[in-house]
Amino acid sequence: MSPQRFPLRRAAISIAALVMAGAGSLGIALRSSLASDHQDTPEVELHPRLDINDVYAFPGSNADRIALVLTTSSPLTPAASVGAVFDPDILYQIKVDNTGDGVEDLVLQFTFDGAGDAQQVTMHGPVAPGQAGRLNTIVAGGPTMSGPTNTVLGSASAVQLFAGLRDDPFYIDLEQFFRIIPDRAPVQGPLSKIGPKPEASAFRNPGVDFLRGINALGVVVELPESMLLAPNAGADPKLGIWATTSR
Amino acid sequence: MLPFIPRRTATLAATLILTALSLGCSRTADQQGLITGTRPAVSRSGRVFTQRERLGNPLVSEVMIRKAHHHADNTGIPSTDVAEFTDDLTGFITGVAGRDAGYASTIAGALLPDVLVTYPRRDNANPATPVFWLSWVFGGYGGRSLTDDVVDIGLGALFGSLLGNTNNVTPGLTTDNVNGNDVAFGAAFPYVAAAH
Repeated sequence: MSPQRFPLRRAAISIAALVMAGAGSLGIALRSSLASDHQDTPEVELHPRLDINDVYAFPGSNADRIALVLTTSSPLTPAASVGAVFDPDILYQIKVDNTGDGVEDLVLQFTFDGAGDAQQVTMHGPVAPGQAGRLNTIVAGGPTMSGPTNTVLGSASAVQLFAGLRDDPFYIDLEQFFRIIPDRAPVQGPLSKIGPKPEASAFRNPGVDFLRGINALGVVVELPESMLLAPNAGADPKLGIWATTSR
Repeated sequence: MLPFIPRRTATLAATLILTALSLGCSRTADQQGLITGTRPAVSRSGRVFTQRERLGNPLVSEVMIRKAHHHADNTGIPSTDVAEFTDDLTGFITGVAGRDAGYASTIAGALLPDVLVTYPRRDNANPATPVFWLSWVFGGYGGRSLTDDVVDIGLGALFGSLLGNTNNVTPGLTTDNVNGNDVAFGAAFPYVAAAH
């Protein structure tokens, strides 16, 4: 990660601190919920391998490279992490729009075979999809790379890939959040016991990171950003990046 | 002995079936519930995969899109987001957060289509360019870094004056008071910290 981000991050925290210090007093009931995108419908909660938790895009080891991260399957406790692997029946994708129309021009596709420590990851792309939108097929042509999970694959000067069990990088006081707005709590597990009436109207201080000690399955790719740009990209190209799971 | 052979065969078959069943059960041990098991691999050749979940910006679907629309959002596509979900976002910002319509429209415009907007050359042009979620709005790289406190950025914008709007801020809802990850991120690939 490039070091210049950290001073700016501190600046953002300072802004937030000023917000706290300068805030007036007004109570408004918060009726909705917040996690980055963990367990946002019963379908993905009950099939956590489908659940995309977070997506990240940031500069890689130098300014010409970009790192992309997709996390899934959180919350995995250490006990639940034993033997936790990606679902071979699911197509995991990171999609990139480089023309500004909200349609993917390039896709990175990840599929998995086998189970346990022997699970293998296969990456296709970035390449134009055979079919954009909700229905997708594996792109034509051979894979970009494949190899074992939980291993850094590829080259630091070209495409690098890692897929496997990691710490869930997201952090939030989810328990307090559901006390404030219980209607979006998950349908099972400890957090489902909160509510149904709101039990708090503000965050607590200090907060408690609900995802401390929690794992996720993660896919991390780093590659030259030129591989994601349109052929005629100008001096200040714009990308739109999102992730999907399909089966 | 002869009459016992079929019985032994039946016992063997039953053992094999029970073993297979118990193996099948153990495959789901890291999850809860009947439909959560990792399914066996099937041929991907020529298979048409159907989208079940998607994510671009953090917090957009979870916080602002109505719960009843989450499935529509998960199976949606960015090119129709503005038409499909602008009302959910502006409705949340005006109705729940109590902010003015113009402010709601500005925020919805920055978050839809629901993609992580990233200007990957801006850090090449200027090494000091801001690199964090939504920084593209004021000339930064945008994207989303592992270190970004997106909860506080989101809460600060929705309920606080992070974007300069001081009308109707809601103290107590502008930060969750969790200011960083529980473990440090890596300085080198793959960046995300090792599992617990």
